Amino acid sequence: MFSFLNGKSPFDEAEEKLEAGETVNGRPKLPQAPIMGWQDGVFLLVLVGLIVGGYYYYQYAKQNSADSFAKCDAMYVAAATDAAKYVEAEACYNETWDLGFVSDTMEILRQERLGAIEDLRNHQKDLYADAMGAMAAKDSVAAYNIVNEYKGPMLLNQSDRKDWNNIANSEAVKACVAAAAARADSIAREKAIADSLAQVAAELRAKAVADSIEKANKKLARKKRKKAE
Amino acid sequence: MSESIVERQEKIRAKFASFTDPDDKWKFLLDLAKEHKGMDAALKAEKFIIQGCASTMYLVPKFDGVKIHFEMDVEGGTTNPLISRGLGALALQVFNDMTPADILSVDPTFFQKIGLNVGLSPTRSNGFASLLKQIYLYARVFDALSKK
Repeated sequence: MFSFLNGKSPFDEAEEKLEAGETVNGRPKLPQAPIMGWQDGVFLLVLVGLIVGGYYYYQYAKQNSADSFAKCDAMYVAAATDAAKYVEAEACYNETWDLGFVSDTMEILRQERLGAIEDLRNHQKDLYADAMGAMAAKDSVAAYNIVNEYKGPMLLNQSDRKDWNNIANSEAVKACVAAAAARADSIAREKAIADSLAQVAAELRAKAVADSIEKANKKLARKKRKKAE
Repeated sequence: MSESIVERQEKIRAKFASFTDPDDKWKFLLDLAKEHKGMDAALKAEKFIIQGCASTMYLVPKFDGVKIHFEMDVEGGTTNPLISRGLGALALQVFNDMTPADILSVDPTFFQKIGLNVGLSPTRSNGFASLLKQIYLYARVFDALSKK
């Protein structure tokens, strides 16, 4: 308990002084008690320290959060042009869970962005499932194409990532795909040659028909002339 | 007298209609998530996990013969899936402590119509749809049981 009375009631003191004859204008001289004891001073100092310290800690926590979120935001924005940065941005946002201060705006942004990264991950998981399905159906070329057509960030877990990379970098499938592409290319080339030959033949045929019509017309004209003569 | 399921829907519809800023909806969901009490860890069995949710969402039903009481919680490992928890809490605001018939009377597109899905990530949207599906499934089962 805190007291400003210094252990003695002022009435007691006044009574003692009155008995001792200490009076001012016939009234007992009032005691000159200090405003507060040293314990009260210490208490007030501690209280002020706590308030000031709390305020500075709050400001520090706020600034620290703002800096952390700014760093994560920059990574997330950079990920729009460099997909690999999504992983870094995700890790960065996940580190912010321990921060002492997170405003509603920060929380919304964090939830929104982590959600967007989760969507990307789920999209890749779907592709992974398709690729594994193709592998199970012994269509390694289809699996290779699914995996290699994906241009997004790598967000799979370690084990799935290993499977994914095995499909993406399989030399045998790569050779198979290259051979299939070469075959398709040569078929296309052959088709183009056949098409152009067919076109030439058609043009020649049309020219021959035109020539024969012209010849027939000339013959007819000659005959008409002879008849007239 | 307790609120009817229609009144609950109207209240939520009015709340969503009052949002003027796109962030208002998220703030509302965050508040719901923070206010939500979660559930006893002993109840968190694998059979109560909602399939199709990105986070691990538990939905435990308790049927007293008339109404279904749901306990819901979301776990996200190191993360704090507040939006998912908020979505779960929002669903419970409509369906908790209602009869199976009440639950089955709710239009399944109600949340879509009030604009909940706008801006919601596909993963969370699918997760929410899975949660609703599970609630309707429990309602159908308990409805059949109560008619036996």
